[in-house]
Order: sequence, then structure tokens, then C-alpha cells
Amino acid sequence: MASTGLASLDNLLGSDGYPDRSAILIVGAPGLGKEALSYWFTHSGLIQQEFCLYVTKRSTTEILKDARAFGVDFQSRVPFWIARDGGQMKSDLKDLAALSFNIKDVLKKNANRRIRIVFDALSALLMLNSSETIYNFLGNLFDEVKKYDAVLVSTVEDGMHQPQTIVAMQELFDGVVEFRLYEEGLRVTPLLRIRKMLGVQPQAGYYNFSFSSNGMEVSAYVK
Amino acid sequence: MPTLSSYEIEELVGSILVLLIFCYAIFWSFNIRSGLSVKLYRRQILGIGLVSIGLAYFSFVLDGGGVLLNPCSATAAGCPPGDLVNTLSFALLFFAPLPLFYWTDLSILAARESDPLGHDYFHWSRLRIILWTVILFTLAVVMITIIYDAVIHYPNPNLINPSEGIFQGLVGFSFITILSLPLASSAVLLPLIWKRSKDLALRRHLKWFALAALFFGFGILFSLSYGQVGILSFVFEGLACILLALSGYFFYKSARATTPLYSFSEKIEAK
Repeated sequence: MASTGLASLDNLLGSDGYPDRSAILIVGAPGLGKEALSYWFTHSGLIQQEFCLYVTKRSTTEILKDARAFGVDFQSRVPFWIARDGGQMKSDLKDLAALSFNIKDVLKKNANRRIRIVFDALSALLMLNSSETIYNFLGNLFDEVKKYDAVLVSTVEDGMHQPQTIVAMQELFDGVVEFRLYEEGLRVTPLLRIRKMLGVQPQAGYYNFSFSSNGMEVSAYVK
Repeated sequence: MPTLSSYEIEELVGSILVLLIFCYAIFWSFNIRSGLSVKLYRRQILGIGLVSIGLAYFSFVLDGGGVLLNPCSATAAGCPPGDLVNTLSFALLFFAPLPLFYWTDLSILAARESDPLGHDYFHWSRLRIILWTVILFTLAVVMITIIYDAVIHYPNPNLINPSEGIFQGLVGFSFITILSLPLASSAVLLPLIWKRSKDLALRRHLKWFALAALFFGFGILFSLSYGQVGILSFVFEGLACILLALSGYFFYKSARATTPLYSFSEKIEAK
């Protein structure tokens, strides 16, 4: 298992983290803080001296600043960046083939290590390409990732794409964690739900969550 | 409490109904905001709330509620020139465009966040600093001018009492600056962003906001015109009320469009 970096989420998954050799999708609307899971996941891997690859459409400066806001400090240890600026490799989202090649190349060079991959460019790629193209891209990528001792975590923005696109993406991944705003009468509550997770029986139901500098607190939601 | 005619009472009821709809929009803005964690999106939806508050106040005052807020406006003599309420109302006008610019600023920043290639639309990251500086500096100058004028020329401040005054030109120019920059940036830049963006949620949000602003504009137009159209004044006043109410509803839709809202599934709840 690859720890999520958040003890509360590890407990919720019913194990010590995400299953090995799996691809996990975190779905949530902009503003709910789902990126924090990527930061904590990476941070956990870096502490355990695993190889961490962060593929993003943003610059490393933006990621580092955002991560600090969630209490994650990458100062002493940093992942391998494929980013718009500031990374060891540049992420050109207009060239899927090059992106795929770069990711596979990095994985190959670190084949003897435990690997964690964060891929937060999925929404951007869905805007630039057809769903079918991205579906094929991801299928190809997952085949490669699962050759290694690796776990991939990806985020996608809910509300930005057609609902059927999100459903199709969810089918492709081994695990899905949802962050959503739920409406109950006049009340709006942000809740987390484990939609599915490969090989483990996560706890069913909805959960309140809140972020602090120590991580994420989770508690069962009572209507 | 001033004595109101039946017509004024009808106007007042209409303006209260409009106010309630705007209050609903404001409630939902803050309600949704409370569920978000990221500053940018919390501020963006705060912007909708602040714009709704400003326009709710403005439409209430203009559309018949003014008699409640400023009783002396209902009297034949009107208000004395140096009246504090008039001075404050005048000063508040200059703050009115600020929420609009605040929301515009954050919407353009949010558009950049969702842009797949991270385009800095219109070099907004730099342009916004210049615009904010101009607006806030102008606002500071005009507030100092208003306060100085009210204190020095009490009880007949030059700004409220039309007469010569070097301050009037300054204040008039400042008002145009403070009003035009937010209006221009929202009216020109946001439609371009709407056209370019592939973010469905952002496009929905901007669409509803544009409708709300359009209906509000027409509502105010009818509200200001009803006194000029004689026998049709009832029609115009009724139309103004309907348009303003719809505007409030569209602000509510705009707030809801910022992020998907879900209902609970019974299947999940049954363990």
C-alpha cells in the first residue's frame, strides 16, 4: 500500500493507503481543496525516499506556494517535476506523445525504486483533446505505470467537463475519491466519498473533511 | 415615519419583494463560499455576494424603498443641504463599483486557473495591479475631498449643493474613473473570456451574471423612466419590479453555477 500521507484518509480506505500498482482519481470542483491530497501523497513518498514524479500544467512555484497553503513544505525534498516552468522537464500539454514519452522515460530510469506519480493535468488535457484521445492516452499510461511498483494519483475538475466525461474517466481508474458540495435544504456541506477502491473495502457513506497544517480531519457525516 | 400614499406603498412592497430575492442570492453566495477551501474561489463567490448586496441596496433605494431609509426625502421641503444622510449616500456611491471590479478581477484569475495552458488573459496579472492602484487612489482622493468639503462648508457643502467649486470637477472626474474602469473591464474582458474558455462551470457562471447585470440595467432604466411616461407609469414601474426581481434570481443562479451542487443518494446512505 502507498500511504495517502493523511492518516484519516488511510483509515477511511480501510487499509494503509492506496493499493499498489493502482491509478487513483480524485474528483472535485475547483475550490474544494482536492489538490491537497496530491501534495500530501507526494510529501509522504518523499519522506519515505520513494521516487515522486509530479506532472502538472502549472509552474513549480505555483505548486509550492499552493502546497504551503495546505501545510505541505517541499523545501527539503522535492519531487521530479514535469511542469510548465521550473521543472526538470517541461510539460507541453499540446504534445501528448512527447508528454507520454517523457513520463515513460522517467519511470524507466527509476524502475528499481518505489514510485509515486501525481498527474494534475487531466482537466487541461480533456479541454485540449477529445475524450477518446485522453482515454487512450491514459490506458496506455496505466499499462506502463503498472509495470513498475508505482501508484498514480490524478485530479480532475468536476463541473468543468461534461458529466459523461467524468463518468468515463472514473471507469478507467482503479480508485475514485470524490469531493463534492452537497445540498440539504438551505445547507451546503463539503463532503468526501470513496466511490470505489481496487481490492479494498472502503468505508461507505459521506464524510466531513477539513484541512489544517497537520493534514486533513475526517469525520462521519450525520444528516 | 413619513405618511405614504397608496402608490408609494405599492412601490415599497415591490421593492421589498425585490430585496428579498436579492437577499436569497446573497445568502446562497455566502452559503456556497463557506464550503470552499481555496482562497481564489472563496473570494470570487464573495464578489458575487458583494455585488448583490450593492445592487440590492441600490435597487431598494431607487425603487421606492428610499423613503424608509431617508424619511426627509418624502417631505415637500426635501432634506437640508448639509444633511449627513445625503452626504453619506453621496460618498457611498463611489464605493458601489468596487465589488464589481473585485468580482471581475477574481473571475479573470479563476479563468487563468482553468485555462489548460495557463494563459494570462490580457496580461491581467500585471494590468490588475495598475487598475487597482488607480481605482483605490482615486477613491482615497475623492473621500478626502468629500469629507473636507462637508467639514469646511458645513452646512452647505459645495458638492451636494450645486454651485461653483473646484472640488466638483475633481469629484465628477473621479466618479467617472471609478465607475468606468470596473464597467469597462467586466463588459469588455469577461465576454472575451466566456468565448475562449472551455471551462463549462465558468461559462455558466459568467452567462448568468451577464443576464443578471442586463436585467438589472433594464430594470433601473424602467424605474428611472416611469415618471416621464404619464399614464404608462404603472406599467413601467411594474416592469421595473419584474426585471429587478429576475435580476436577483439570476444572481442566485450565477452563485450556484460556480460549483456543482449535489443531493444525497439513498443507495449510499443505506449501509
